[in-house]
Amino acid sequence: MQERANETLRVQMTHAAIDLAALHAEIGDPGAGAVLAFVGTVRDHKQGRRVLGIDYTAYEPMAHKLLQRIGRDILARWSLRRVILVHRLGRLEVGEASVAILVASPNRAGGFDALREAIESLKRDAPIWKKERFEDGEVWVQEGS
Amino acid sequence: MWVEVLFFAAARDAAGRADARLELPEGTSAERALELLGSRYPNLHDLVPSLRLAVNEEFVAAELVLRDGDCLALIPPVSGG
Repeated sequence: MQERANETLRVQMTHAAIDLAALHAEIGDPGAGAVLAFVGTVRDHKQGRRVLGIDYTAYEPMAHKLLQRIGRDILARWSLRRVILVHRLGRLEVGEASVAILVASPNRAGGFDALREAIESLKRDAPIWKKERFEDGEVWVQEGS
Repeated sequence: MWVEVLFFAAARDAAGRADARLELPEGTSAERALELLGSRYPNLHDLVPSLRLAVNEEFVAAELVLRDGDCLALIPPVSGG
C-alpha cells in the first residue's frame, strides 16, 4: 500500500470484494477539502422480479484503458488531487459493491461534478457487462441501469 | 490477411465462442467483417445492429479499414457500473 500513496490516479478491475474503508484511507490528501465517493451496488429487484445476484464480465484490457482515460479527464477538468476507480468482476451477491469511484477534490462542487461525469462515462463506454441472475434464469442487461 | 476476433457477453453466447481468426481480403472494413461474422455465426446475425466495434482496444468507426494482425472486438451494449 505504501507505494500507492503517491499515485494521483489508480484504476483497478478486481475479482475481490471492494473494501471501501481501505479506499477511503488510501485517498486521504492534505490538499483536499473534500473526499467524495460513488458506490454502485447490486439491487435485489428489476422491474418487479427478484434478482439473486449479478455476474460481471469485461474486456479487461480495454476497460482498464477506458477507466484510466476517464480518471485522467476528470483529474484535469476539475483540478482534483486524487482519483480511484475500482470495478468488480465475477459473481456478486445482492448488496455488494460493483463499482467505487473516489475523488479527493480541493472543493465539494468540483468533486460532485467529477463523480457524476466519471460514472456516466463509465456506464456509456466501458466494455463491462452484467448478467442478472433471477430465480428462473439469467439475462444480459442491455441498457445502462 | 488475418484478423483476430473477440466476442463478449451476448455476442459470445450467440457465436458460441470467445474468439476466432478471420481471413479477409486486403482493404476490408470493420463493418464488412462484422457482416461476414453475422453470416458465419447465424445466431449472431440479429445482434449485429446493436454491436459497437473496437480495434486494438479502441472504439472505431464502422468504415475503418482493417489491417493484418488487427484485433477486432464485438461490443454488445455495455452495462457496467
